[in-house]
Amino acid sequence: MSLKIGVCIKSVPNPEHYDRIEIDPETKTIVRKNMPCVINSADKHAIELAMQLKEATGAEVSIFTMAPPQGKEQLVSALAYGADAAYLLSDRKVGGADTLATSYSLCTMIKKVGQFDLIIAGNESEDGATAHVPSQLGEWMGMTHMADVIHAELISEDTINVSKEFENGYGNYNIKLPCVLAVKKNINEVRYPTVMNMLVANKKPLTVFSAEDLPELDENFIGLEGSPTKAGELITPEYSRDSKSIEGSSEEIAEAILELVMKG
Amino acid sequence: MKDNREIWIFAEFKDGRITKGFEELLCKSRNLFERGATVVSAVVLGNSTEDQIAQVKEYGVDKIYAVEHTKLIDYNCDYYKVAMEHLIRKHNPDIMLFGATVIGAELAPSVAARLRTGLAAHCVDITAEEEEVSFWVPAFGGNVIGEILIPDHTPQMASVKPGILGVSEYVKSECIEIFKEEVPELDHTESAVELIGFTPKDNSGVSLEDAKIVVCAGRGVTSEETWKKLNEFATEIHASVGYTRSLIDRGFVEDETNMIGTSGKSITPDVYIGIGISGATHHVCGMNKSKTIISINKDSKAKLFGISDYKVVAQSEDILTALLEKIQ
Amino acid sequence: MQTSRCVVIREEYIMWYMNDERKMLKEMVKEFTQNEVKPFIPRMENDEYPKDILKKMVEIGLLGLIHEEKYGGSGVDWISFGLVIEEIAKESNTLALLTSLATDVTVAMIKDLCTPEQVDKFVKPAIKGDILLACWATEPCGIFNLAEYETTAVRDGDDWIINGGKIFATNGSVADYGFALCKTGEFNPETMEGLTFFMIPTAADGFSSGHAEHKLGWKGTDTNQVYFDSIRLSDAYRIGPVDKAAPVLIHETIAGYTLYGAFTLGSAEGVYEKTRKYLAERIQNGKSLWETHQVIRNDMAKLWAMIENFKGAVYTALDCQNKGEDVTTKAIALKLQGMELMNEVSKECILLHGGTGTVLETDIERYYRDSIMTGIGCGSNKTLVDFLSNFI
Repeated sequence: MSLKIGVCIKSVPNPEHYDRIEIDPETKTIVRKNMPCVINSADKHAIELAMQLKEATGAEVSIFTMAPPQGKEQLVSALAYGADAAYLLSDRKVGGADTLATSYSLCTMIKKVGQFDLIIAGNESEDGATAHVPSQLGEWMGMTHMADVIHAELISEDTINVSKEFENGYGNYNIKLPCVLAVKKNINEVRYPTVMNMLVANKKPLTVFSAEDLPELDENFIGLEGSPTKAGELITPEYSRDSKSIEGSSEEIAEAILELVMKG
Repeated sequence: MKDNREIWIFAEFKDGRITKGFEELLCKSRNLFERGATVVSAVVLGNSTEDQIAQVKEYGVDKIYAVEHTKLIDYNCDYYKVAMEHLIRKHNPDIMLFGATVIGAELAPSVAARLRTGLAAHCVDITAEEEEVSFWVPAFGGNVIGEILIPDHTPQMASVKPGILGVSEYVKSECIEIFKEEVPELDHTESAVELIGFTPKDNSGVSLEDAKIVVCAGRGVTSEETWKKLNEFATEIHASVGYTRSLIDRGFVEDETNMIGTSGKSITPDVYIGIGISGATHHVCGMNKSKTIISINKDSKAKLFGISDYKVVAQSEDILTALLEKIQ
Repeated sequence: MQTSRCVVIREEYIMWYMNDERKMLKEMVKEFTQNEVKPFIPRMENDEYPKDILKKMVEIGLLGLIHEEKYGGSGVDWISFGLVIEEIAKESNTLALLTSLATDVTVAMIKDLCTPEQVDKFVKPAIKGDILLACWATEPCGIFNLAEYETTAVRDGDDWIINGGKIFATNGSVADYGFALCKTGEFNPETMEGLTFFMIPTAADGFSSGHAEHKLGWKGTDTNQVYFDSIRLSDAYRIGPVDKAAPVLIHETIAGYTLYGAFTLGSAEGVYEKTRKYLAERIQNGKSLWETHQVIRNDMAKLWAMIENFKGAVYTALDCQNKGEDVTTKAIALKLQGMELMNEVSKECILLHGGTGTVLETDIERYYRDSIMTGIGCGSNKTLVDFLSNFI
């Protein structure tokens, strides 16, 4: 089996700083200065799944992302897990895209690179958290797709067995390849990149596409133009209530709490 | 002013019962526009839809669009999206709403992509100013709420997590039209997905979303002993137990089933008791609509105190012991 | 919360020695330290040896960093090695020490002295983590008092008979092998000849270890006494030429002091950062201690300046090591000053914390206790000062 696996990752501002997010009053957008970017954590689990499948079957793993030029850093970090090649689509023309336009652009890049048997992505991103891109990518690619995946195992050359987590239980399915899988973080534990892999990551092939390199891109479907959803206002919500302190001994506090509970 | 704008709601059923989110979306749809008539319709998909239609009728929607097909017996995105696409293309609703459930979160973007239209995900609110509809979505762990507009495409699509909007008064329709639709494309569609089996989760007790009282454990619950006491206390007062991610990391719970927050469940109980919860935004987003919020934390600068009605600065262990003594 | 925004993300990545690979390495070690090491610290403070953590580090390639690929190492340079040690030390000075010792400094000592068979038997497995190697030198007379060493290795046909013992033998009861410095001839103080390395299997007849010491700091390291009671070893267990071991021991031990620089630096940074965060978040009367007390800010500024300057010295020395230069005086200077730095910073940080600084749960006082150890391990600072004076 020489499976071709693609992993889509997103470069997101480091979630450790979300508590301190500020909105620029003039441009009404997020202040991105001093916000280093990292690989979206759910996507790391996607990379881990790809690596496990690579180890089991000798598959080739390629990493894809659409980002500003700094996204290269995240691709190199992804290569450090042991992936084989990375591809970046970076161009102002595709920027400002919503999930529909983003998944279209990713699809175009992936098709340009080759025929993939399996595409894996994290279920949702820490910044936008729409959880749309994997499903919409599947639609653009014309591939079956499944989200909320917590287990995936190849059972033959062209079939993958997958478990999907619902609110009330787990569905188990056999899916004929090719397909797109969106994985949840509880699917696996992400390995640490080994020192050896880190040293060679920079030497692995990393291709940067501009819009020109992908003449197949239809201008109507990319960037702001290609985004049916438009961004309006941004607000930082303030949640606050006047709180009364309950004091006293543990017994007195317990009594007061129980009273509040009974009152409902 | 548009006459007869139509809003569709996907009616989702779990274990045969309609999900709570449906009524919330219905209420929102009825009350969204101040002037002009709004037709609110439900979409029902399944192998045999009689029972589902009967349940939906209770809520007084104006229309019900139902598709019956053997392939729709269990949820399969490949078939459900085909049926939805057919219905939408045929009838052109202005707005299409889904509960942001596991099914909704997969089905909605698939349908939106096929229709090349816009979809706002996990909205915390939907408002309308004259004809312009704004969808409010959280980002960056809930620290930012962004307004999403879908000015040039129809239907405007959105998903909302059950438990976010709540239910208030809404008008029920007297006369309901039911349309049973055929979707011939389904006959020619073969899904690459084969269902092997379904394993239910052990969800004994009242579900978190329906519970009137919720006790929530956070990072401050460090010992198994405290966790046990917390669960005992919850059982005594007939409360459901929720938690933050720390409990999963600690190994006290297996998965995210009862995790409360932007990546988990949203709840609106009458009483919320937070124990050892710091109050990070992504958790607060999931519980800030609770009626009465009581928080217990040994850290006097815990953020949760800022949104609590009652605060207790003490060791969780001590208070839980005292509470159990009082009740038992 | 204006105050918490003031906790500065130090611009570590603009240091002259940082490049993309080192940045990735640092990030990975940071994540590893937070997820794997930090939770284990209470157990280490209970004197539990971090066997599983070291095992995991081998899998990721974090031990054996400095050794060439032909030995199974990662072939990383001294600066990158220093970065790893510094990062680990921010949470655990002890683990940083063990990482320096476990395969790197110990193996480095004997690597070039080993025959190809010995490389296969000891060096490669040690780097792979299949065996644990220790280095036993210290005797009751003091590590540098080579003339008065009492452990002897006497020729008996093709074999050697080892008698004696070592104190403060790190990993004395957990190692698979320890190479010990044994007297094989009359010690010549000028040439330093007279001592030889022998690889002693802890499974050997006549080997025993004593009780593990409960120490002030560096808890979780197995510090033992080991006894050699007429242990018979074939010549295959002799490492390097007869009588010529002492200069190697001294040279490599001193070369390893640059790592002392790295881990005293890391621990000073670690305790400083924790204190900085505490001062920003500790609210009294609606404002943070940082906002309201100029004295506190001044104290912290002084500490910061000391740390920054020391960092430059550490990485300069590591850079010299990369270039193959002799770092004897620089390395000793780093060990001497490193201890002072870590001790001063950790002491001040306890005081700045106030009462909670003395509480074990706050986990600040550990840095202070460990700082004392850095002045004694691998050669007492009191002795080194005198040694250094020979060069100035």
